[in-house]
Amino acid sequence: MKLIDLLNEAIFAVSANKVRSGLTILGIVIGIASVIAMISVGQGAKSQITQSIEGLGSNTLTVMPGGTRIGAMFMGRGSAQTLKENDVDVLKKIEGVSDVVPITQRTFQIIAPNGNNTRTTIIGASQGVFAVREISIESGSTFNEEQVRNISKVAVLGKNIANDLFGEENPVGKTIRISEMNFKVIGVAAPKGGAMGMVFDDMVYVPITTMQKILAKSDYLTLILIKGETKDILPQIQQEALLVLAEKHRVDPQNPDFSITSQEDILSTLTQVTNTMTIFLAAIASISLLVGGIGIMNMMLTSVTERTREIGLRKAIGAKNREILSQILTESVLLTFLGGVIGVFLGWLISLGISKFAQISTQVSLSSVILAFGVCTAIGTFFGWWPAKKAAKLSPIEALRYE
Amino acid sequence: MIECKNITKVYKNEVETQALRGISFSIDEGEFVSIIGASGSGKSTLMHILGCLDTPTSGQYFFEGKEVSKLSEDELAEIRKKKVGFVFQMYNLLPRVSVFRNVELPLIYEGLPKKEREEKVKEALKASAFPDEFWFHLSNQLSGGMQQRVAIARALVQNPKMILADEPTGNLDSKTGDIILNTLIGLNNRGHTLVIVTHELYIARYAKRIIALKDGQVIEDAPREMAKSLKLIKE
Repeated sequence: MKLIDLLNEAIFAVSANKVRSGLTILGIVIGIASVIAMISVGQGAKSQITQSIEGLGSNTLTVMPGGTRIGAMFMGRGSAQTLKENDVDVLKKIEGVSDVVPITQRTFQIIAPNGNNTRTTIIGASQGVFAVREISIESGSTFNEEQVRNISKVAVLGKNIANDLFGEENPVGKTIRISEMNFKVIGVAAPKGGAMGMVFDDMVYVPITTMQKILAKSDYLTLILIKGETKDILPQIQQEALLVLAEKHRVDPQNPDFSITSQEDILSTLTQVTNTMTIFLAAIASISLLVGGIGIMNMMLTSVTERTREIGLRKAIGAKNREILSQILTESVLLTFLGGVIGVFLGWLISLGISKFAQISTQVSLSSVILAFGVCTAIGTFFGWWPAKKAAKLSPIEALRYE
Repeated sequence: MIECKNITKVYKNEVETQALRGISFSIDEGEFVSIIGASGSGKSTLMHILGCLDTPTSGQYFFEGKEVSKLSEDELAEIRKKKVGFVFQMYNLLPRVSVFRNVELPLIYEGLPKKEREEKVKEALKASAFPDEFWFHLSNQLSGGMQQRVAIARALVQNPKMILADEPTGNLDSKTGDIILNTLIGLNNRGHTLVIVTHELYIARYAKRIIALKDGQVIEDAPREMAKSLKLIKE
C-alpha cells in the first residue's frame, strides 16, 4: 500500500464522521494550545530576564565588596568597605580587560532651580561608565577624563530625573543642587529602562572623584565594573581578577573579602528559575493533552468496533495485518496532527492575548511548536496503537460474520 | 489448480465442533464447481479454507501446487489479494464509498499507481456489466443486484485465477439472481475457475460439477449430469 493511498484512506475515514472526529480533536486542540501558551509565558519571562541582564552591559564582570557582620547579623554582600581606587589599577593590568570602571554610589536629595526636588541614587563613576553600561546620551554630553581628574561638579541626569526636575524643559546647562552644592547639568541620558532592580533612568551620574571628595567624602567603592574585550575571555578574566585582588587584599582566594559575578552567573541562576517554571506550567498543561489522548483512543476503539465488517472485508481482499495496523495508526496520528495544527494556532492566539491583556511578555518559539507536533504524533501513535493492534488482529472470517 | 487432501477443521470454543472431517478433492483450472449442502454441513468452513481466509486443522491444501495450509497470515493475504476473488452473499461493499473506489480497493493494497488502477477498474466494471452512469454513485444507494455486480467487479479487478462465490444470489430475487449467475458463468467461460457455495439446488444446476457435503464430509463429487444430489429437484 502506498503512503499517499494510506493517507487518502485515513482522510476518508476521519471525515466520514466529522462531528465525532471534530470533538475528539478538540481534546488535543485544548491540550496543545495550553501547552503552547504556558511555554510561551515561560519563554517570555526568560527572554525578558535575559534582556534585562544584558541591559547591565555586555561582557562585564561586577566586583562587589564582601559582606560584614555585626555580631551574628550578616549585613549583606557589598556592605563591607574593602574596595578602593587602587584596586582598579591592578585590574586594568589583566590581559583582555578593555576598561575598569570604579563606582561609588550614594543617595541624595536633588533640587532644581525651579524648586522641584527628588531623592535618588547618585552614581559616582569614571567616564567609562557610559560605554560599559551602554548608556547613550539624548542631549548634551557625558563627562570626560579631564572633568573626572579636575573633580568637576557636573552631572548627567537619567531621563526620569530630568523629567521630574525640569519637565519639558531641556536641563542641559542648568544648575542643580546636590547636598547643598551646585552641579552643572551637562547631559541627559536616553531612556534605558531597568534591570535587576536598578532603574537606570532614575540615576544621576557624576565623576567618581567628585563623589568621593565632595559628596560621599569616602574613598571606598561600591562596586567595580570590568569590561572584557570579548565574551569568551570573561571566565579567564574573572579567575585572574580573583587572584590579583585576593593577593592585593592579602586574603585567601578561596574566601575573599569581595565577590566577582558575571552576567552569566546571574543569568544561569535566573534561567534555572524560569526553566523550572516553564516545565511546571507545561506539565500542568500536559495533563489536558493526556486526557485528549485518551479521547483519541476511545474514539479509535469505537471506530474499530464499528468497522469490524469493513476491516474483515479489507483483509479478505488481501490487506495484510500491518496494512490494517498502519491504516488505523495513520487515522489516529492524522487526528492528533490536525488537533496539533489547530492547537498551535490557538495557543499562539492565547499567548498574544496574554501579552496584550495581562501585560506579561510571551514568546512562542519554533522549538515549542516543533515539540508540540512531535508530542501530537507520539500521542497519536501511543493511543492509536491498541485500537490499531486490535483491528489488525481481527480474523477476517469472524469480522465478516460480525453484525 | 487446487487440491485438498484429507482436510479437517475443528473449532475450539466452549464445545469442540468438528466442522470438516477429512475432505479430499481437487479442482482443475477453468472448472465450474458448485459446493452444495444444508446449513451446518461445513460448506462455509470449506469455502474459507479454499479462499485462504483460514487454514485447516489437519490435512493439506495445495493452491497452484503450493501448500498453503502452513503459510503465515501475510502469505495468505498475498494469495487472497492476487489469486482469489470473493463474492459474498451480503455483497460486503464499503458503504458511503463510490462504486469506483470499492472496486479499486484491492488494487490500493496492491500499491498500483493511480492510472493503472483506473484502467483495471474500468475493465472490471465493464466485465461485470455494470452500467457506466452509476460508476460514481455511493454503493449503499444501489439496489442489491447492482451492489452484487460491484462485488463481482471487485473480485475480478485483480484478474484472479479463482472466483469464490458464497451464496451470491441469496439476498436477491430470482430474476436478479439469474442475471448475477449468468454474469458469473460468463466469467467461467472466459477461463476463470468458478466455485459457488450454495444451499439452493437450482443454482447448482448451472454448474459443471457438484460437490455435495454432509456433516463435514463429501457425500458426492460428480459431474452435474450424474449427480444424484440434484435429482431431488425437478428439471
